[in-house]
Amino acid sequence: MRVSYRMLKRFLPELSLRPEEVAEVFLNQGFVVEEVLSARDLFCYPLLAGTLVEAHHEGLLTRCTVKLGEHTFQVLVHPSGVPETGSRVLVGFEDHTPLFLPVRGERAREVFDFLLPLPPFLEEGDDVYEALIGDDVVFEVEVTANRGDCLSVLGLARELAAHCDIPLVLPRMHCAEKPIHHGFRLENEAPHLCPLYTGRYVTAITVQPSPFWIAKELILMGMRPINNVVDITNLVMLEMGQPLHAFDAARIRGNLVRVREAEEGERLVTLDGEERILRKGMLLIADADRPIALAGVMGGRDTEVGPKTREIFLEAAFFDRVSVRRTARALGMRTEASARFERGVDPLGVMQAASRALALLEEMGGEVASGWLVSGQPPFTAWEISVPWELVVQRLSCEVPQKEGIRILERLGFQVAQEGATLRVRVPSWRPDVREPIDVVEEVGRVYGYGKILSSFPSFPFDPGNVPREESLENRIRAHLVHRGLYEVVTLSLVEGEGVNMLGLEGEECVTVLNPLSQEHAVLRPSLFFSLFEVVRTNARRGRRSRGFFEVGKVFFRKEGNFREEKHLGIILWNVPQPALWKEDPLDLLTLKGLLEEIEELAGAGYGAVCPGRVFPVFEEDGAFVVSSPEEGAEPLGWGGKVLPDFLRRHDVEGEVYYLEIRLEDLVVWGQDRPTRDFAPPAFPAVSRDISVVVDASTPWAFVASLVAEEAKRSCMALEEFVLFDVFSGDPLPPGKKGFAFRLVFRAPDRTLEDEEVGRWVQKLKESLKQTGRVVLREEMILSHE
Amino acid sequence: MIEEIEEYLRDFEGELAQVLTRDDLNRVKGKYAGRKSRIPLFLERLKTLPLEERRVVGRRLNEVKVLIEERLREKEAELSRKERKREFVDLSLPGRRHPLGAFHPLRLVMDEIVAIFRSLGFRVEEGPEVETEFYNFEALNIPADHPARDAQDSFYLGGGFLLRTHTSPAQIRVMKKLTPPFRVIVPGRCYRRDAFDATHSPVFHQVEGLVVAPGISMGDLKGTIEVFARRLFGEKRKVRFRPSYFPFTEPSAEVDISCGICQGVGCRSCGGQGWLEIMGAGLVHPQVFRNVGYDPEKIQGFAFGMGVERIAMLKFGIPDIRWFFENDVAFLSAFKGLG
Repeated sequence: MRVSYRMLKRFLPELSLRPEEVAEVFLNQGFVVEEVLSARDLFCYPLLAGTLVEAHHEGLLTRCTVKLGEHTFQVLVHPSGVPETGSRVLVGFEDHTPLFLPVRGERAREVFDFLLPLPPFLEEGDDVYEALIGDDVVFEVEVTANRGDCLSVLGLARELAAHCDIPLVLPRMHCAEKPIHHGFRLENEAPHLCPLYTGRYVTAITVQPSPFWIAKELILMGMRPINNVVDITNLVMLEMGQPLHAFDAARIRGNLVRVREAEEGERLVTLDGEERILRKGMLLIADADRPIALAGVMGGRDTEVGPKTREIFLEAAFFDRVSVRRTARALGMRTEASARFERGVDPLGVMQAASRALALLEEMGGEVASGWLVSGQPPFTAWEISVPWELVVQRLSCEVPQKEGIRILERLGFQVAQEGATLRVRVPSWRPDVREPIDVVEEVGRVYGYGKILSSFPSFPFDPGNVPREESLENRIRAHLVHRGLYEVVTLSLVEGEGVNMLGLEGEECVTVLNPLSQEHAVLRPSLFFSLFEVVRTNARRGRRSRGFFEVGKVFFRKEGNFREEKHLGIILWNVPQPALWKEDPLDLLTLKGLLEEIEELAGAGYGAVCPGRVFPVFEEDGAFVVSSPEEGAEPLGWGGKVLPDFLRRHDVEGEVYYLEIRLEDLVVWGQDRPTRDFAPPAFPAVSRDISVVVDASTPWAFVASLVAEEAKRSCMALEEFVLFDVFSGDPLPPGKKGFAFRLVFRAPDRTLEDEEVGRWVQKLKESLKQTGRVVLREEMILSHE
Repeated sequence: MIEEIEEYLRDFEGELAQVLTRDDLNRVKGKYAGRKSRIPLFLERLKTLPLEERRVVGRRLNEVKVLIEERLREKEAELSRKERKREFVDLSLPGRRHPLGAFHPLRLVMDEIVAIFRSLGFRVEEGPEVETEFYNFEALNIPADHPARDAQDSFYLGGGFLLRTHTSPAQIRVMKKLTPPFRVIVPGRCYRRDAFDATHSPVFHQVEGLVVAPGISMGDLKGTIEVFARRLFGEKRKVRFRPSYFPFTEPSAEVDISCGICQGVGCRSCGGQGWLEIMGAGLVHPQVFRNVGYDPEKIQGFAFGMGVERIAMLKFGIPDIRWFFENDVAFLSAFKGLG
């Protein structure tokens, strides 16, 4: 909402605040001032008084000659917009081009709708700013959704009146009426959507340019002057907040104005020249034959007030806010009128606004027929709210004097009766948002000033609970991954549908947005893979280098018709040539597995079995795995693998990429309630022995490991642990063979082990390994060069 | 014999002066001080001398023996010093180390906000990102077709579900789950149907706060937010409350902090305003209490909600919201060492 300082002053003659103070008051009372403009930002400059010296008809247009000192300008004007020869008219300049519609930024044009007449006291060549505009200032005020009443000069002026404690003066609303017969009738077939509809008939209208003061105020408030009738309805809407519409009465068929719901597919060409196809139930204004306006949104073109209009039908109504909102949204046409109806207009202000417009029309020579055409009642029942003063003081945490509070409320238009320490507050018709005592508290607080609220701290006994294990574990894992050289990322959880397909996930299991803004953000990700791969891609494209990235975020899917969201951890490793310092730290599938083990250890979860298995088709067949849950039949804890080189090439990513995804919530669950281990330090020394074996290159370590574990158990050995410390191949081993070297650590809880005893155990283990026929002891192997 | 001893000492001094290495020193040591040196021979011969002479020569021999040992020790120390010098470590070389990654700035800010509120006795809760329209709007006193919905254009999923447009529905969930009094914050991800540009992202983060207890007032809200804002942005920053409108709070407020550069005077960085908006807040609307079955006569509360991206942009001076979601290493590495 735009409002100018001088317009506010028109409603508040005693206003003594400076413009910058006005802006401050607006802000402090809940209206953000987005911009403060000077009048010179809105009009072109310079702006001078010229004289219309000659008007000459040329076909449908009039060629006017405007004199300005020794210069004369020729301009084509529509005949209805030509004032009397000899009048002073407005001439603006922008880049030395004469403009007759003096709005800043207006382009020069061949034909003007009108020349704006200026009051005759101006001399030719006078500066119009100095004489008629002054250094006016315009405030661009943001009005919150609850304050429809402040989409008007009146509403904003009332806010200032409350702050300054000064009276509000309404503009003239009286006109002389004449007993003119017109025969118009009203039919309201949709009182539920239009509880009040009023019409007035005005004749003897001469459509011409508005007087300068109206044109000026409209321009200051961001609207274009069109002609005196339309400008008056617009000006009154800005003044009072009530949209009005003037129909050319001669174009209304059957002298009938009907308010009704549209039939499906009905058509109406609106003022902007667009043909609108209406949906059933949209509220419209019709005459005896056809729609003539979209109620509360925009008038129809056929009944538009134009140069030939002699008589008008002036509409002032209260339309249902939801109905107007739906219609405007469905047709994509938010107008000044619809914006006001949507937020609710003052039900008791409807006829007041019409009266204001009639007074101005009369000033322009219109003859107002006596009597209102009215259908319905203003939808308003007065209500009262009882507010104990104590409530105001307590909730606001400041000692507002009761007298001050009453004064504020009264200036805002509330009627206040005092009953001891309780106020009985009667709410004005333009404040439907004030329903409860707390709303009254806010009104007082707003104007009294939030700055005066005394700060305190809410103290009461409350145990917030421990840091949830989930949160602390998540944070420890994040910190660990950062310490391992990875960057944490945050990515959008809305992804492209195509990405989901490339993972081979069933489309129906994914959650799709019904109304996406773009196909890029149309599906809720069912995995973090797309997002993390995209991060690698972005960085590859920009020539960046990194060991990898991780993200903790939610993934989404449907399961048995329900939405599911799970918190996952995604890790992507990127093996590209790194700065030399990093060289020695390899990045491969086992690095990925190592991270998995570290995370499991951090969670105290024990290790899930890592089995070969390809979850996403973008992984290499042999380089993919699934981490199974230790619980029988449970969903896997995670999955991962090496991304296919082909896939990387297609997306211009060099190097190798490894990916791991872990279902974080399950990890949290696993690790909890883990039995605490025996803390006592061992009392007796351990004995270590190393064994080195040679096997076929295809034999996994797990084969050897499980043999050792089983034999140790079967023979009741005091084997504390055994650790693989080397895997070797190549010379002196023959091709196709590899070796494992591992350390056995023996310890008994109750005694020092004898060398001989340990020797027997080791011998036993060696025997059982040999017995498989797949394992040869390194010391017994005859090597080529020995 | 005394002559021979003196000569022995001179020879020793001469050879010791030639010593450069530990090998040299060991050789000299063997020759002049060990069992194979001439010292034992001198001692043997000493026995043959007459008593008077024996005493004089013996004393001298002892002196020479001690002197030789001392000189050898000195020489050894000297060599050690020299050797240590050769083991010079170039401390200007870079350390042997692992590369570190970095936390994401949004998570850094979120973690910091959570930590501050935890220290003030707040509990941390989470809510689902897929919400019902009812929780996201109606329960929060935002009826269908209300203009307040304009600012929260939603992504719909069908069946009455949508992606939450704010963390506020968690207020409803928390109130249903807990029994007052309580202090809770809910960090989380939100979605609005906004085109991706320098200041808007269809996916963003908020932290919601809710305190419910009898007698909660605007002063409690203001005090809490002031403590929070000063801890997050610095003690020098001023906090300003101004009225605003949210359907689920009454009275409602918008909270600003003074610009870190001009401290409220107005400069280019804050668009001449002097103040930067950081959150919306207010007392919980009685209707919201009624919607969850609380009696607004008996219980009060305040709520607030802040945009994490906005706060991170203010805190780190980031001009474009899209930078957060691009995750360029060049951007991310700027946050090394934080958190």
